[in-house]
Amino acid sequence: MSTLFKAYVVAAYVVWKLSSLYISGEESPFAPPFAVAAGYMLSIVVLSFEAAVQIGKKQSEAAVRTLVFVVIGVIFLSISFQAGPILNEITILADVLINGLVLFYILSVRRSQKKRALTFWIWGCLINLIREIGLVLCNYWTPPMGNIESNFGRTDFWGLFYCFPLSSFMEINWLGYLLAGVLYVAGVILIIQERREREQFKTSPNTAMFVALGFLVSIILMGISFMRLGHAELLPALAINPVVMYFCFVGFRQFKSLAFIFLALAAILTVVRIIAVDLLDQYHNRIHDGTIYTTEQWLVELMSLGGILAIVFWGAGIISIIQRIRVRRT
Amino acid sequence: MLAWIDFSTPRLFSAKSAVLFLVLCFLAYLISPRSPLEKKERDRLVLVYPPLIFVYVLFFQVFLLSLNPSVHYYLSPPRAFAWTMNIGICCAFGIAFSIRIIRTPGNGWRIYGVISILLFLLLLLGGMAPPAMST
Repeated sequence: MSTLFKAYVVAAYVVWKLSSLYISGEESPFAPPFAVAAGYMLSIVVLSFEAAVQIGKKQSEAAVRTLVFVVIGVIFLSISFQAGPILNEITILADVLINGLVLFYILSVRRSQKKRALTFWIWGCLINLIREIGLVLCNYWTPPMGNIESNFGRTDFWGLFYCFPLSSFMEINWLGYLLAGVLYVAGVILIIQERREREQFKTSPNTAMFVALGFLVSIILMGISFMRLGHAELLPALAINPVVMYFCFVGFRQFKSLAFIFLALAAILTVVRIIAVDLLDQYHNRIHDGTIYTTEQWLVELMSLGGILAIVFWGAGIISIIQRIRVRRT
Repeated sequence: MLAWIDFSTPRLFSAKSAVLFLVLCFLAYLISPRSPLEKKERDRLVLVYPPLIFVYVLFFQVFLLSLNPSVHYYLSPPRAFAWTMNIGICCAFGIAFSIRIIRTPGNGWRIYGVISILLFLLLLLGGMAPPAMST
């Protein structure tokens, strides 16, 4: 019975959104039918109860799995009414929270195990945290405190704080994004190699060079992608994510670990989202008359949602891998 | 399109200069004897540094590539000093890393190091004049 509720939580929102694509723009785009919302409320109540029972029986893993569905249900229910701005806020929050959580986990494991993969992930998480918090600081101060004319040229501390130079840091933000991606992938590859070779494993002297080469290739792809296709993210994402998918496929075939499925799902969602953003941009700016239709709005919401799910899957994948490392050690 | 004419006071450094300097210092630390990496690994890592810096300078200093779709950079006279300083910082570190490559055993790497130095010198001497200013 609970499987039915879990399936409803995952599928109903997406099915409702997709079926609503054909509703005319006159109708309100945000209000879901009462039946859909009521189904979500019922599912959340039932699954919360089940999670509480599982916690009572000390089945912590099953309880966490059930709570994940409760959280997904709450997210879907709350964003159904005004999705766009909330989703943007959630994406930033999810990125900060999950990177922070993963960083905490990795740091606690690294005390006992000095693995290169963990070092790569620590740097990746740190870079992502700095990027996200820095971007919030750059955008946070809206007028009258923010980047308004009277604040330009101020040399005191608060002037600097209110006029954080976003344009100077935009390229560094993007370079950080690419470097973090390359470091995550390098970590995944190293972990798979290490588990495959077990005791014989020794970090290759070429590892750091390959990471730097991967970063170099990503920058070149980003430049080509931005100058030729107008999207900085497209080509690097199409290069990095298939590599993750391939190694996750190899890892899952050999170790049958759920962590690799999570990581592969994150990579697939990222690729689909980025291609969809590009196609929608091409369609919106080149093909039709420039009016924003509700269908487009919903697609953008779905893409944001895909982005959040990708972050959650990525975090779940890395944490599962770390937990396995910790269990094997103890 | 909105154009913002820059009347700010000319500066020798910008926030980017400070970040560039710190990042490049960290890259130098990674290949220094104090780095946790082994000697062989440091020797291989330094090989990628010159092209990395060269590509960065090419995209973000020479082409002035703006990754913010709503902002298009143009180099205003007050900012030309900071721009020159940023090129100088990148080229100085690029040349230093190339000299480190020359010290790596093997004739191939030495030739690669010399070519890198020549490229950075070309960038430093030929590219010092700011690119054409346009909105």
